[in-house]
Amino acid sequence: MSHISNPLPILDGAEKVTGRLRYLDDMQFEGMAHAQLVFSTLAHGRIIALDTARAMAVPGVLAVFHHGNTPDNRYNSTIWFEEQEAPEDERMFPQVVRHVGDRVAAVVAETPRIARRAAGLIRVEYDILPAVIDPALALDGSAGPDGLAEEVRFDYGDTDRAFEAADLIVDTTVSTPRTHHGAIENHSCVAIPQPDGRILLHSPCQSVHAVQVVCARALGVPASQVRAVMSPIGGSFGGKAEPVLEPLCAHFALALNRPVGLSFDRGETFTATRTRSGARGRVRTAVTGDGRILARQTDVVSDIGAYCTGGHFLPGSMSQRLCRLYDVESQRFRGRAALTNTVPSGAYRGYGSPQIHAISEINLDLTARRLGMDPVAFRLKNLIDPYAVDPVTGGDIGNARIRECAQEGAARFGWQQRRDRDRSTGRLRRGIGMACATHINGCFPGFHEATTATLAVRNDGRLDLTCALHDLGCGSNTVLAQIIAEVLQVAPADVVFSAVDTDICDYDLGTRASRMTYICGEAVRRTSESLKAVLRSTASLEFNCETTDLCFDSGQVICAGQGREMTYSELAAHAARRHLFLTATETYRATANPGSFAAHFAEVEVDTLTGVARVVDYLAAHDLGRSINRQLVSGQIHGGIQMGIGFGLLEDIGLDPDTGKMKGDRFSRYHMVNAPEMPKVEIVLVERSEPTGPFGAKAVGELATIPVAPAIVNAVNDALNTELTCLPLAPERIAEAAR
Amino acid sequence: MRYHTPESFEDASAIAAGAEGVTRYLAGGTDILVQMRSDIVTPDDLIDIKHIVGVKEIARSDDGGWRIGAAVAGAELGEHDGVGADWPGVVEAMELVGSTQVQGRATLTGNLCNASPAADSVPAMIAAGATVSVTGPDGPRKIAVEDVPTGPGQISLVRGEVVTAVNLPARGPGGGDAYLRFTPRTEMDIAVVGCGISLTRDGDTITSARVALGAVAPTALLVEAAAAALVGGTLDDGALDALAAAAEAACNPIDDKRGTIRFRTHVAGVLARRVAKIAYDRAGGAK
Repeated sequence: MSHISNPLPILDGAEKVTGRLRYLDDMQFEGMAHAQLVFSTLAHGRIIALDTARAMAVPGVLAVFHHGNTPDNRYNSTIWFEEQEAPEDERMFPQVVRHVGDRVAAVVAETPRIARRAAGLIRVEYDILPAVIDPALALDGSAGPDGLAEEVRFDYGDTDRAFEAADLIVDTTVSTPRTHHGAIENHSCVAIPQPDGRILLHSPCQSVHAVQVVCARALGVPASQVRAVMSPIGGSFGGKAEPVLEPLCAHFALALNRPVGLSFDRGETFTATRTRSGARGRVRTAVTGDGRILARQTDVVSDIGAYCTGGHFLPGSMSQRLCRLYDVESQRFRGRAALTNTVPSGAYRGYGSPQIHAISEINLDLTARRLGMDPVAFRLKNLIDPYAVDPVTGGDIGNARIRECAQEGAARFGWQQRRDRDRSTGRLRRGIGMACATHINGCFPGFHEATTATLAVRNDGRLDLTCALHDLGCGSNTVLAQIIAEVLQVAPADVVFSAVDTDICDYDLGTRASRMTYICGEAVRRTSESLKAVLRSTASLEFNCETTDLCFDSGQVICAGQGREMTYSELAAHAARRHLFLTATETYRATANPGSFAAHFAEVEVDTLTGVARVVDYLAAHDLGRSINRQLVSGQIHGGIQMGIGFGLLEDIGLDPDTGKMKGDRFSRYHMVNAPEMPKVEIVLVERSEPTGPFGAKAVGELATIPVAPAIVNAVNDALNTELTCLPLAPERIAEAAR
Repeated sequence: MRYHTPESFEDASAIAAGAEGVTRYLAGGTDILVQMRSDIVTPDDLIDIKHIVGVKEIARSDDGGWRIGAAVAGAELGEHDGVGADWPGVVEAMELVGSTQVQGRATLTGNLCNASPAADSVPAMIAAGATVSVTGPDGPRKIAVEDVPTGPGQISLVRGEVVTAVNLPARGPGGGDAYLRFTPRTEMDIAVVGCGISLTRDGDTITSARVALGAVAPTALLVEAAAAALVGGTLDDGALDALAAAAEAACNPIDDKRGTIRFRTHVAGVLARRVAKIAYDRAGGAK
C-alpha cells in the first residue's frame, strides 16, 4: 500500500489529547532545586549595587547568582555549531542591562515558591543610561553608539534607467508589529550534573546540538562536557530555537552540584525570551502602464531588540525572498538590522518572510489599484516561472508553481464574481484581497545543510531510526515515518524514533528553515533505500535467490518464485547468526533550495463604526510539490492562517515608546485569534512534484502563515478604499480610518 | 490560612467580623483561586460559602422579581428559563464572562464583588435596577448594585458583611433589556466598553429607562443623562444621537493597550445605540 499523501493522524496525538504526555515542567527530578530570575525594570542601565542579603536570608534559598559571581564568557545564542562566527554580545548576567526584562540575577531555592518570593526581595540600583526604543534613532547615530547590527544590500540590473522609463512609480511604507510566539508551553529547562563532571540538559528545544555548543561557550567548557536531550515540546514557532535558559540552568546546577529546574511563566516568556522583529519597509515599484514590473527598490529596517539573537540574520533572509517570487529585471535592496533597548528578536515562523511579504505585497496591491488592474491579473503578469534562476544567488527555484496557485486559487475562490459584486456603503463593508508568497526549503547553500540518519531492523521487526529529529508538534516525525514506511513497506507506527540526544545522534542543524520534510525527509528516504538494499542482499542469501526476485510487503521480504516469505524480524534473527546486521546509515547533503509557494485569498467584513475586521472566507492555494500527509498539511495551513490573522489584525506586544516596557505582556492585553475568529478555510494543493524532494515533497509549515496578513490587509483596504499600511489593523486604526 | 465552611450567612459574617488579617469569600473561586495561586492575595481566612443552604438557588421573590443565590454559576443562570425571559440582558452579560469552564463556576455576585470596572454583568445589573442582599454585623440590608463597587478592586461592604443574593426586580409589562460589550475578538476577552440598557414601553413610547456603561470609568456608571435622552421618545434618530452623545460625555476611561480614551469614548456611543435598539425591540415583544 502507499503511505504517501495519507491523512495519517499525528503519531503522538493520542498521548497529547489525553494529557498523558509529560512535558518538562510536569516532571520531577530527584533532588531538584528551582531557579527564579530577576529581570531589569529599565531599558538601559548599569547595575551599581545589588542587595541580595534579604533574599539569601530566606529559609530554603540555596544561592543567588548575578553578574558578580557568574562567568563573564561572551556568547551568541544563535550559533548552531562550533566555530560558527557570530557577534558575542550576551553573557549569563550582564552588568549593563539593555532592555526591560534583561537578566539581572537568579535565586535558586528548594521550591519554586521560595525562589519566587526571595527574588522579589533583591534590590537593584542602576545608573540610568539613555535608552533607544525607536530603531530609526538607533541607526542615525543621534542616540549614541552605532545601532547597526547588520546591513545587506543587493543591486542587479539597471534600476535607475528602469525608474526613468516607468509609466508609474508606486511608493509605499509598511510597518509590521513585534509579536509573541504564543506556544502553549512556556520556556523550560532542567540541568543535571553527571557523576563524570559533565552536565545533562533536558530542554524542549529546536536543536540539541545548538544547546550543546551555546552552553559550552557560555560555561567555557568543551562541547563534549555538555549533553543535551530534547524533551517533549509544547510548540515553539521559533521561540525555542535559541537556548535562553539552558546556559544559566547549566551553570546553577554545576555550581550547586544539584539538578536545577528553570521554567518561565507567560509574562516572562513574553518579556525575556524572543519576539518577531518589527519591520518598516519602503518599497518603490516601477511599472509599465500595462502592468509589467520594471524595477523595484526596497529599503527595510528591522527592529531586532537588544541583542544579536537571530534578528541580525533578517536582512539576509528578507533579501532572498524578494528575488524568488516575481520576475523583476532590476532590483535594489537595502536591509538593516537595528539594535534597540527592547526585548530581543529571534527566530519566528517564516524568519523575516511575513514582514517582507507584508511590505512588498501591500505595495503590489496598491500598485495594481493605481494601474486600474485586477490584483490577480497584475501578479500573473509578473510571477516567476518554474526553474527560474534567482538573480542574486544564482540558484534555481525548482519546480515553482506559483502561477497555478494564483490561477486555480482565484478560480476556486470565485475571485472575479466577488470582485464584480456591488459594494455596500453602509456600516458593514466587504472587501477581498489576495497575496502571494514564497519560502525556502532548508539552509542550502549556506551552512552545512546535511542530515545523517541510521535505520536498523530491531529484533521485533520494527525499525529503529537514530537521528536528531526535533518534532516541534507539527508532526514531522509522522511525515518521516510515512516516508520510511513507503520505502520499506511497514506501518508508520513501526518506526521507533531514537531519543534526540547529543550523546546518541549525529550532528544535525535541528528544526528550522522549513527543512524537516524536504531535507530530513530526503535523508531518511535515502537511508530507507539503503536499508532496503541490505535487506535485499541478506534475504537473497537466506532464500538463495537473485535480489531481483524479492519484493517487500507488510514488513516481509517475499520471494514470489519460491512462494516463501520472511518477516523482517525473522530475517534479522537469521542474519544475526551470520554476524550480519540489518542497518544502514546515510548522510544526505542538500544540493538545491527550491521555493515553496502560496497564493492566499481572503474576504473580510469591516464594521466601520467599531473598526472590527472579520475574515469571513478564506482560500489557501499551496505549491508544496507533493503532500506526504494531507491531514497535517491542512493542519499547518489552518494554524498558519490563525497566526497570520493575528499578525495582520490584532497582535502587537506594544512597546512603550518612552520606557521600552511591554504593554501587551499577557494574554489579556495581547490578542491572538481564537476559534470564533477563524473563517471557513478552503485549501487548494498544487502537487506537481519537486524533483529534488522526497517523493516530490516541499515545505508548507512556515509558508502557510506568510501571505495571510497582506491578503487580509489588502482586503480591508479594498473594503474601505483606504491605503492602510500600519499593521496590525487593530479596531482603533480601522475605526479612525473609517471616520 | 484558615479555611472555613460555615452553614449560614450569619456564621460566615461572624467569622469575617472576628477575623483580623486578609479575609476572602469563596464561591466560584474563578477570581480568588487564581489570585491565590499567583501570589496576588494570600488570605488569612478563606470563607467558603458554598455549603450554605440555598446559596445555589434561583427563586421567584414575593414582588415578582428574582432572587439569585450568591453561588449560582453563570451556566445555571444561562439555563434558567424564567430569568432569561424576564432579564435576557443580564443573563447574556453574565454568559460573556470567561470560558465554558469558567461559566461552570463563576457567579454574578463574584463578578460584582471582584470590582473590575470591565465586569460584564455589572452594567446589565445596574440597568436592570438590581440590588444585592447583604448580611452583616448590623443585620441584613439591601444595596443597589451601582453602590457596591467604589473603585477598581474596591467595594463598599464593611468588614463582616457578605452578599447573600442578587435581587432582580419584577420585569413588568412592556419591558426589555440588553447588554453588549466591545472586545477586539469574540470570545475569551475583557470588555473595552460595556453597555447595559433596560427600558419600558407604552406602545412605541419609552416610559422609563436605565443606561449603564462599563470599562469607561473606575466603576460601572449609571448614566442618567443617557436615560433621559430616551424617556418620552420613540427611539428615533434624534433620541439615538442624544443617547450616544450622553454616553460619550459620561466616559472617563483609562488610556491603555486595550483601548485609548478616544476609541473607548467613541465605542461607548456606538454600543449605546445598538443596545437601545435591542432593548426597545425586546420591550416591544421581540425575542
